[in-house]
Amino acid sequence: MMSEPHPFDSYRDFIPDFNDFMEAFRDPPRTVVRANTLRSSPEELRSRCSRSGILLEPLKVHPHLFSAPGHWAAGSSLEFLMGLCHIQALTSHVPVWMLEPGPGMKVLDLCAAPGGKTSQMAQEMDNSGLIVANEKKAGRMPALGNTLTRLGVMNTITVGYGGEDFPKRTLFDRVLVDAPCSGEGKQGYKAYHRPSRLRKASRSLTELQKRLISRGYEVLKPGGRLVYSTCTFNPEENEAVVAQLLDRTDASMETVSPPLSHSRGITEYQGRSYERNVEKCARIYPHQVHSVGFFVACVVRPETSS
Amino acid sequence: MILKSEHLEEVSGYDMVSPGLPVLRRIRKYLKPTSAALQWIGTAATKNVLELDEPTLIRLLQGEVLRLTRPCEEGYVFLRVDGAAAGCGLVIEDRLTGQFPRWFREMFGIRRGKPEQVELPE
Repeated sequence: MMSEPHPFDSYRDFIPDFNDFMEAFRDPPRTVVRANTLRSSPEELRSRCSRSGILLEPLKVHPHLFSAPGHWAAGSSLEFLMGLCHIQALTSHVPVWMLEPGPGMKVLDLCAAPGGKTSQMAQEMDNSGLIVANEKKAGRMPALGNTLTRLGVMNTITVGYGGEDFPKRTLFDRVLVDAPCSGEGKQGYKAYHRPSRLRKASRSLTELQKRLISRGYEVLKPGGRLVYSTCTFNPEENEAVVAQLLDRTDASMETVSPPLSHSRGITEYQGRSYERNVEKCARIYPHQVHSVGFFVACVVRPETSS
Repeated sequence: MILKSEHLEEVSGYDMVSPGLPVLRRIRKYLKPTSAALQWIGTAATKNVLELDEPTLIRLLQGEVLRLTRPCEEGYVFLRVDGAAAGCGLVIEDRLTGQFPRWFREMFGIRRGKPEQVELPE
C-alpha cells in the first residue's frame, strides 16, 4: 500500500538537509525563558531559579535569554507568576530583534496576542514611547492582557481592530506584522506521528496575510521599518506575501541576518517565481536551531515615500 | 495606568480595550489594588508589607487562609517573597487571604472545601 505523501514533501527542494529537518520534529523544541528586565535582571532571575534547584543556562545569542531544563514547569513557576520571566521560543524573538524598536518610538503590533513579542518590544523600549497592541479576536484578548499585566508593561494600549482594517489616522515608526499562519513551524512537532493534523494554508489565509502586510505598510512612517513574520514554511504565506507588497508599493527590502543559523528566502516554488529581493528574508528551520521554524522579512519605507 | 508619552494624544481616538496596566478594580463599593500594580511597586513599598517564604505563598495561591501570628494593620497588603513583589493580600482581623487573579490560582490548583488555616511563619 502506498503511504500518503507528507505535507512537507513539497519543501524538499529548498529546505537544506531535508531528512534532518523532518527528524527535528521528533523531540519538542527546547524551553527558552526571557528575563523580564522591566521587573528584574537576568542575574536575579538566574540566581532565584538556582536557589530552587533550576539551572538556567545563558544563551550567547542574547543576554536576556536562558535555556531552561525540560523538566521545569516554567509556566506555573513563581518566577513566571511574579513576572520575572516569560517563556517564548528562541526563534520567536527574531522578529523584534530585526524590528529594532527603541525608547520613545511609536510602535504598532498588528496581531499582538498572546503578547510575547509585544512585551519583548516593551523591554527593548524600556517601557517608554508607545506600543499599540492590536488583536482582532476577542477570545485572544485575555491572554494578551494577562501577559502585559504580569510582565509590568506600561507603555502599551490594547485595541481590537481587524488588522487589515486598522485605522490609518496615525503613522508609526515601527510596525510588526506577526501574521496568523498555518503554523507549520510549531505544529510539525505535534503532528510528527500524525502528519494529517497539519493545517493547510487556505487561499483566504494567504489573502488575509497580504491585506495585513499591506495595511501595516500603509500606517508606516516614511523612514520607518516593518517586519513581517510567520511560524510556517509555506512560501505562499511568506515570500509570496512579501513579493506582492514589493510589487505594489515603494517598499524596500532589508537583509534579515539574525544571530542564529538560517537560510535565505526562496525565489521559486511550484512553478511560481517571486521578486529577486525576497532572498533577503530569513528562513529559520528547526534542525538548524532546535526551536520552532520561523520566517522573517524586513522592509523599510523610503524617506521620500508619499 | 500608562507611562506618559508624547504619542498618547495621537491615539486618543482609538477604541481602546485597555490603556496600560490596571491599577484598581471596583469590588462592590470598594476599590481593590490589582496584583499587577502591587507587583509593579511592591519592591519599593515600606508599609503594609508581608514577607513570605515560597511554600507559604503557594498555599495562599491555592486558596488557603493563613492565621497571622503577629499584628498587622487590616486591609490590602503587599506580599513579597525574598524581596520580590508577589502580589496582593487581604488582612481581616488575624486572617490573611491571597487576592490573585483567578488564572494564577488555577495554575496552582485551587483546593476544594473549607480552606485549612495555618500559621504564618515568623
